[in-house]
Amino acid sequence: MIKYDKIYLGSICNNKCSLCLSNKAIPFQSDLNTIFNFLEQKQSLENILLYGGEPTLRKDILQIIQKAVTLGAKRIKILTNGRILSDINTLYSLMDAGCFLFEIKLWGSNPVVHDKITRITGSFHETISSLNNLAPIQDKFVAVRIPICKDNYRDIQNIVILSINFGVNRIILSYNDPNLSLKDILPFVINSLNISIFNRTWILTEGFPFCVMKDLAKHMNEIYGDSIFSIGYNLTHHNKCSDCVFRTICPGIDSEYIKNNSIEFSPVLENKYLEDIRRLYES
Amino acid sequence: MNHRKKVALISFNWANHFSLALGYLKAYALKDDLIRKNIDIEIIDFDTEILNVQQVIYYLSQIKPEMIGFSCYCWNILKVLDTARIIKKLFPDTIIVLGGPEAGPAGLKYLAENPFLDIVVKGEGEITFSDVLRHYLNNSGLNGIPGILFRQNGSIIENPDREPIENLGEIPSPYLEGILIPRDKVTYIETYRGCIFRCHYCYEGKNLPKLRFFPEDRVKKEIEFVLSNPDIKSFHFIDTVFNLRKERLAKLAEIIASANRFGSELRTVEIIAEFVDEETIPLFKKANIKSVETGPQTVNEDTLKIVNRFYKADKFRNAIKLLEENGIEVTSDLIIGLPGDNFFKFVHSAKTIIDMKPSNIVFSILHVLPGTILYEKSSEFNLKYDDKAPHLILESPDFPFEDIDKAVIMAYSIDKEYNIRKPFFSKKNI
Repeated sequence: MIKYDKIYLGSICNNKCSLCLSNKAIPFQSDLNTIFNFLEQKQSLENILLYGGEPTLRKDILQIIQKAVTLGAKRIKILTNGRILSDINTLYSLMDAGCFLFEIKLWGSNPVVHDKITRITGSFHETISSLNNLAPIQDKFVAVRIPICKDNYRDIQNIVILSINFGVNRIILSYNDPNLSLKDILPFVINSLNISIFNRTWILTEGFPFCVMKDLAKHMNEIYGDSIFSIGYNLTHHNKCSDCVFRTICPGIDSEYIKNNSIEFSPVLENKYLEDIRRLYES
Repeated sequence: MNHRKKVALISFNWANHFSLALGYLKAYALKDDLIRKNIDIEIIDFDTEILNVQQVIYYLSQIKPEMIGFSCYCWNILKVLDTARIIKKLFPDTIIVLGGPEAGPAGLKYLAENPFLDIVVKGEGEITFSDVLRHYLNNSGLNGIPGILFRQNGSIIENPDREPIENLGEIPSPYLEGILIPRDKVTYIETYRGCIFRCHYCYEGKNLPKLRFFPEDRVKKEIEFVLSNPDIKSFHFIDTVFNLRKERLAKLAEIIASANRFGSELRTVEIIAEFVDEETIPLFKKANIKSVETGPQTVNEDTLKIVNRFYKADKFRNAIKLLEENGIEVTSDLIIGLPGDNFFKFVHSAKTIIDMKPSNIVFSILHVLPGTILYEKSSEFNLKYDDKAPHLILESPDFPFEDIDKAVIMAYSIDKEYNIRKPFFSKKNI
């Protein structure tokens, strides 16, 4: 809902997640001057999201944050795997520089699941350690992003519970694996939504179209205009989507997925809140 | 020797606040010779963050007042009832009087459900409470006092309402009389009563529709008195609309500026943003206003119409821009669960306000408060709400319980994200 200017800091990462697009890119770091120029050219700098790769690996990350603060940014959010923040001094340095919002990717509720996906032994403990460091700090915002893939979809409810135990402020379930059937993972997603709401923690989904979410559309990050799901994906619509009332606002789904799973799609023919959702999406 | 009666006026507050309303009651009562000569009135502000009911009971058991008056709001009525019930058990002769916006409009209900209560004051309490005290001293019965409900021989009697006090100058200033001592951050000044608006969720406009002003010279003296204290770094006005009229605002700004030798800041005054323009800003600055609070509660046209809320989108947006650009922090309020809204419409309001970039956004759930149109016509509006204070909305026609619940959880998350502030720590301190 809060719109962030998204700043890509480069593809370099200390995880090697099997499905990550950055991982497939040539190691690259955005030029500091280019970043500064981008920040300076923004007429009204309010909210920025720093993402990568792993933004905290940059030696100049504090400079970037301080520059954004100097230029008037009120909310600086880092999308991170959290490993570097397991060092509390680094975390405090980031916060001291002006970054109080963190979105931390968590792939599993235990090292077996998490480290298998990140392909780094010990990464789970470091990410958990960062959540542990953040938990007692009052004035911060922490979201946990759970990218869903075939290796963790049966675990997402446990990841949600683990995140809630750290008192996070939001959970995002991000569909991340075009080889995984949306219909197969939906029961786990619905259960996760219920667990999270029961525990008074706001939870969103990304990458799940309206025809899958149905009455749960209020959890779709896409309608709030803050989704990062579409970054790097080739999203498209199925032929059947032409009859869907959400056709013009649904971001669609990965083209590869549509080829392999066309049977799953059935257009939404009516929705009581269509106009309200459309207005929200377009605002 | 004449035995002086003891009356305790109690308010349950939080964060070191004190009750201006009780100050008024005492100030007005002490105008009366008979009361002044025969009654000691003690105002006690209990901080609910620090003290529990047992501690309050202990305190009262030490002073043993013959009468206790409670100032009742939706946020403290449950503690009031707990305290009153136990006090009545321990000291059955103690007369328990309730007043305030929570008790007055629902007086019949409170008396019927709580046999330990004796009297409920409806509406403005200054004259009515004084009458109650006088009749108590004279032992002359309560039948002739307008504006009360009371228990008599097992029945509940409701006397006719009392008209609002026409001349507010009749109420002495609790500050100038030395009844209330101004304290930093929690000192409130009231320059008028009533509201020009009739929002259906609000008590003020419906019950005090006519604007009545405290005399200008008395307001001036109050401001000068408060600002003569170097410890008052910030203070507040509780007027429903501080920027009601420009010429009035100019006068107040002049008074404040002339008296403000210690640079006290005016914080969180309620304004109507749509009344703010380029001419208003210098007046706000002159008054040293650092932060203001304003609606719009919702931006959805249907909802605004249903709840009779004034909102002009362009003027509102322009005002936020003007104020923020001039260093005056704006807090914008939104209500979850208004009739006419649904989950997505509420989110639209939030998104619209976020886009206007006020310093803070406050989300609150609708309280269907006694004395409001929504309370009185709840069945017409098809509202389900909790009978028990704070009377939270449970469901409205387009906003089912599950969606209200989710909207509240979402709003809490947005609140944390939007209203983020630099934490009070430094790397140097670890």
